[in-house]
Amino acid sequence: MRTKYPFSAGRQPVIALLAAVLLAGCSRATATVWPAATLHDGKVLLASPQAVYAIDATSGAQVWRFPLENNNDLHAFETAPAVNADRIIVASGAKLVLALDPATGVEAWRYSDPNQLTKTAAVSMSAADGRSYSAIGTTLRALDNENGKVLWQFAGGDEFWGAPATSTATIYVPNMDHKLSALDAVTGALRWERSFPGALAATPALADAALYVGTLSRALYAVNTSNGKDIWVHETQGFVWGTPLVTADRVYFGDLDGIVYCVNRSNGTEIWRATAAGSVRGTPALDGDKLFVVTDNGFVHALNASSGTPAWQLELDPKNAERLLDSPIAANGLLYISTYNGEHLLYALLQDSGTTSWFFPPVTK
Amino acid sequence: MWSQLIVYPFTNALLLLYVWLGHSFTAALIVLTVGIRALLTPLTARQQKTQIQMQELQPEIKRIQEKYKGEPEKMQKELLKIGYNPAAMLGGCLPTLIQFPILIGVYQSILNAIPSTPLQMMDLYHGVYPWLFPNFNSLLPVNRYLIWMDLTQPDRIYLPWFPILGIPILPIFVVLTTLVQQKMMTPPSTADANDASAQMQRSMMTTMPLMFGFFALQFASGLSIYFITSNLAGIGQYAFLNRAKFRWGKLSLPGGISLPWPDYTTKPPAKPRPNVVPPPTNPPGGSGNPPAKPKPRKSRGRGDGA
Repeated sequence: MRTKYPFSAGRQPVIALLAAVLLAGCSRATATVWPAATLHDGKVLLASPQAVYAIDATSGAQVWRFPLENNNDLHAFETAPAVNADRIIVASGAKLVLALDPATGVEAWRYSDPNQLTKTAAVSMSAADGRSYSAIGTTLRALDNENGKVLWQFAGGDEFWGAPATSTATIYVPNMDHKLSALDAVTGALRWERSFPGALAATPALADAALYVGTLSRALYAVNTSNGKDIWVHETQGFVWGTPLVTADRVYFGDLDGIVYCVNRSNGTEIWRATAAGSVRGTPALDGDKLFVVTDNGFVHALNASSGTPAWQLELDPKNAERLLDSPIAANGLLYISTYNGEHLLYALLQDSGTTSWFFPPVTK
Repeated sequence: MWSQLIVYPFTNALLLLYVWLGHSFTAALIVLTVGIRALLTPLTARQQKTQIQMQELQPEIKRIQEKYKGEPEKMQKELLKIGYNPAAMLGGCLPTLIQFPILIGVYQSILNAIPSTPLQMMDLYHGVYPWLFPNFNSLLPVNRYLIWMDLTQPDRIYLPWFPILGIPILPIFVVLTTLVQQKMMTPPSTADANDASAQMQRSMMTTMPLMFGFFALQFASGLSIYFITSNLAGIGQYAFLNRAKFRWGKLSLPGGISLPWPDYTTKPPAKPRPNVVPPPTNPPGGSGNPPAKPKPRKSRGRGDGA
């Protein structure tokens, strides 16, 4: 009979093996961004890790999905689809840009990033005037909307997390290297460039001759589109990540410290501020006199847009501790909210009360 | 709670070192890893001491196991007499267990401190101490590049004339350093080749380096730098603390490459400690051979160590 001694020196490597397994178990999930939605032609287009869904905005029924079955080679769609004439442009973290038919979701063309240095990269998308602007990692490319051919490309100092703001003649490209570049939309030639104190992670809002730029510093900037010079600066408590919402006379935005701001569009003076339950990452949504913001810790706030006083607030899914990182969409009397880690990918709430109208995907019995 | 107690402090320490070391995340990571190893030295030294004690006791254990094959109770008594106490061995393993949360925390803080994706950036924002980094915005984005490497991506170097296949330089170093450390920490077994413990040792010698190499292939290369630094620090620490216990030899690899390799074959036999091994006695009625007399230990001269 052999006597076993469980902690003999020969068995100590087992403990190291256990440590290795624990390390593996503690590795992050593969998600790098969060699901994101766009409203187009009566459909909510939702990019989620496994698929892009077209969902009827009224009923919540699925119209189509791409791909039809889960395909790990395409994983993961996490950038809001860009809509461009007769194409929906989606990007995957696997460094692919795909053009889909808006009615059926059938693939029209795809562009694959030739850079092999990384398996995945942060992507951002926007589209206008027959061109799709697809930023994968540190390279921004203008693709022909018809066939996906590269028209021109622009190398950034770091990654492009925010999609360009587009106009017919010029596009405004935010970069994580703190720089905002104005490029000729047709040729990609640099018109002007300027630096900010913080990284630029979101698309600037473009309205008339001004750009409203949120930065990963504690300020929102209004800059002149012709030369990039400051019109005004509004200092904030936390980082401003989301694209500001610009109306005729006001600018609404939130910061990562959970403060919601309403400032005068012409001079940046503060009209009101309100405190949300958590970090406000996305763009606020406005419908009538109601302003909606969602927070990283799962809360939805409806505020009176003129005064900032609360109308209602709720925690969307306390059971699953939803993270709400995408921008909400307000339309049709509903508020569409895509979630990061919840039971459902998308919720439609009644704007008046916050009551859930429908969610997607529905619960299957 | 885990994040607040373990991950965030390490993340902030990494960022602080990043600032102090001229915005080099690699240097920050190396210094933090070495610092943690230094802080854990009292624990790891105890663990290594237990291992050495085990190594020294192996011939005696083997002899007693052979002698009292059919008498487990007697065997236990005799093993206790020579100082072999499984409970004490457990004590030797506890330091390793205590290190786990630290290792996992460091690993997570590496991923946290180099936010390569928006989601990681959100998490970092909540984890940074504002009082420590009032100008945190100026640190972003954290410089995550080292020569050809993006520390947030698995390491591959692509040669211009062979762009199809990436060469994983850092994972290769992870495998080599893990192999050397594993060899160093696993003294030669005196048990026979079929002994379960010896088989496990041999199996771990192969699987551990391959497994850590696999992790290095899959995960961010920052983790590979952590593994390599930690392995090298462990090798250095072990070599220093036990400089009289083994010699460095060379392991010849194909292509004329030689690797520093712990060489136990030339090591003088260790002298059993008088307070651990009792004087050899013939058990009453025992029929086994008396244990071999311990050989005198060579003096611990400078040339005897690593």
